[in-house]
Amino acid sequence: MLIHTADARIPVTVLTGFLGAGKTTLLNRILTEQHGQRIAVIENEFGEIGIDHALVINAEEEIFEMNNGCLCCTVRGDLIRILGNLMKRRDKFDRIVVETTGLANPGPVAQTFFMDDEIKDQLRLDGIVTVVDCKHIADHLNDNDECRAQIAFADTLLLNKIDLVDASVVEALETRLRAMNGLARVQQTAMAEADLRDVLDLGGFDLQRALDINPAFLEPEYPFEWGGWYTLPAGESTLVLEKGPDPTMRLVLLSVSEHDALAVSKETAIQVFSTPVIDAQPGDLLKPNVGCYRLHLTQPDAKRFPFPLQGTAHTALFTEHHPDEFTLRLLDPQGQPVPPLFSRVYNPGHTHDDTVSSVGIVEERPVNIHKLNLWLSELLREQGADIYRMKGVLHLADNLNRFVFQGVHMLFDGQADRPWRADELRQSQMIFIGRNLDRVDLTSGFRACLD
Amino acid sequence: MSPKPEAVVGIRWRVETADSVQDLVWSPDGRQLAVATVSGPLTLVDSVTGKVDQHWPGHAGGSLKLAWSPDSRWLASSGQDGCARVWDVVSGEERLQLTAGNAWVGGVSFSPYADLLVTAAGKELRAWSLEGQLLHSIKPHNSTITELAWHPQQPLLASTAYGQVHLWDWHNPATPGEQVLPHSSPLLNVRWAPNGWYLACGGHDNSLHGWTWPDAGDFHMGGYTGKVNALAWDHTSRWLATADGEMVTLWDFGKGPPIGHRPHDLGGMLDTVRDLAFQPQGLLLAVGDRSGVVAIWQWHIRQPQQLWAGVLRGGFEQLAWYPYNRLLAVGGNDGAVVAFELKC
Repeated sequence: MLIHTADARIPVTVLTGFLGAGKTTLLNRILTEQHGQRIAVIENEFGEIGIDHALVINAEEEIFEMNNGCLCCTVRGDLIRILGNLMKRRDKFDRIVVETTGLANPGPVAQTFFMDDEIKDQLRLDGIVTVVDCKHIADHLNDNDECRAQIAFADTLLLNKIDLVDASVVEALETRLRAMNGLARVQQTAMAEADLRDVLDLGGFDLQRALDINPAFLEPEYPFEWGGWYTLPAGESTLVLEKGPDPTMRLVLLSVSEHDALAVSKETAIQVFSTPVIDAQPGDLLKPNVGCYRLHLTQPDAKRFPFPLQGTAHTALFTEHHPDEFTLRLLDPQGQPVPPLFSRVYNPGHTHDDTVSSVGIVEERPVNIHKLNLWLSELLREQGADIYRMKGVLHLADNLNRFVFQGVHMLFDGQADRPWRADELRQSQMIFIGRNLDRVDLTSGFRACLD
Repeated sequence: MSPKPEAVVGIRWRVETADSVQDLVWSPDGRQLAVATVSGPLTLVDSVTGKVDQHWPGHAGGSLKLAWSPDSRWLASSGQDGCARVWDVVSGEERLQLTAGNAWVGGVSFSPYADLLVTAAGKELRAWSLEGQLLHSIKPHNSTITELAWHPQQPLLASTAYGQVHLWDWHNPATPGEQVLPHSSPLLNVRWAPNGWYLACGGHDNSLHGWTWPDAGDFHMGGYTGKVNALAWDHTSRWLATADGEMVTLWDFGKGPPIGHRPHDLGGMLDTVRDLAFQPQGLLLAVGDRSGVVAIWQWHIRQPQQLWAGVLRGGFEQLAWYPYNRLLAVGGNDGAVVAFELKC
């Protein structure tokens, strides 16, 4: 077996997205802007490629199960044949782009680059780019498995045709897609005018770059969306809410010491949010540290909840929804609005009920590699078909080096990486993207592998 | 003691062709060697002098397969341009251009009776008269056809694809005696034993699947660590050489399919084996790997033993033994074609 360094292999970019999303437009842009390079294009759909110098090969999608009955071992037979032939040619290519049909599941395409030895030796899957038609994607997301798989597999999501929809629709869509795929870079475009740095040379399957993960994503989900920290004078302050999108909202009030940071009180808030709720109608008194209130907000005008305090108090407020959704204000005893000293938004676990989601796990305690191997192999045996992608950097017990890994369905590879730096926080970060993932199960499964 | 390598094998001639050698076939009469290259051009070389007799542009998008008519008068080629072409090797004219039905024309073959030509394009087989008239077409497979092989004694053509071998009698298309031999993954290649008793196929699922003929009893050999991408029978039909990755394995069919018996292991080459072939009338086995190593094996006290090894600097692609044993044509990734000559 020849040994190749990663950069000796030819990078392959896979373009997916529904018919009409803008794949061909993006492809033409790649061919125009990278005109100094020799690019071979393998198309599964007849597109209007307007460039002469590219080699364009039309292929008919053929899906093979390498091992009988194992869906996770499906590959694209036509790609093995065509890429194998292409690699023999004297006119070597700088780059290969594979454009899939609109209805293609990217899984078999991706697996082709890991299952076939000759392909693996000569080509490197650089990244999967999914072009999204902002105007029509919402319908497909709800009823189409392939569409959800295209989102889940992506290294880059191009939210295209933003000129055809309201900005608020694009924002909501971006939030939804980020929750489904926490790994992908997201770019908003019109006419597929993407920054090609987010399309080419992504290193999406490169172990050395295994964790360019959006750090905000790696946070756990919270039962609340917002937290604020106030200093209130003695007397009766009032919480005022207007009509919002939901008939009720849960909140927790905590009295905190002056030096308590929000980070400390949030742990308490998480616990309190899981206790039985205390129903509160407008006019009911709220008290800190008694439990989780559920405010009933159905009456039409402003709803006032008095909030009496013995003396000047530092108070943390955690709300199920963002306060702006209910125009929430806190008024001091003189009726003057009190802004929070500081506040922050948390990643709530409740925004969408998509079957495809991402689960991120961060742990500082070192991982026992043997326990992890057992857990991962059992997990992939049982749920490999549902886990589209995973990536991670691990802090292993008794090991000076970082350990990096990435996987597609049941195929995964990992290796020792560089040593941890002295100034670096040693922690394990993992992310799973898949269908019907159980966050609690995955997190507790991983925690059981800690030393 | 083994003789020195240069005493065993010398270079008879060397020709440079346009691109990586995709297929390499001697004419049945031994007068010429036809070479197809991966980017398209075809070259016809005189087997004695190494002089280029003909040069054709071949197929746009790349050439794939070559086939000689049994009388050595015509050369057929197929490629990625949706066509099979038939060339007059004397005048150099293109005699026929046949539209095969799909851009990827992965197979072309004259029947052993020299009365028709079959093309395989995508999932479709088409039979043509030698005047270029379409006689018949069928779509027996649900994925792209990988290889074609005529039974050595009967007008029966085997074709392989994902999931099956398909057998069809092209001389009685009305009552073709069609038969399907199933396999659960892609079959990459198909070879009949010269005695016509066995049909062997290499699988993408790291296995060898074979059938006895005509009763179609099957034998299935595992234990491979990679896809079985090269197969060759010796002329006695006793030995079947197979390759997966760098490994070459020899199965002994002396007492029928060697079910439950261990094969001979020739050990590893340096890189993935691209092609292997037995001498048409002898017992030497030639093997070439991707790194460019070409080795010849012989039988020595009931064991295979390496007789000679050389290196093709530009990487190895294809090899073919001359019909009368003494020459071995080897095609490289850089387009070099070398005729090695045995001196023993």
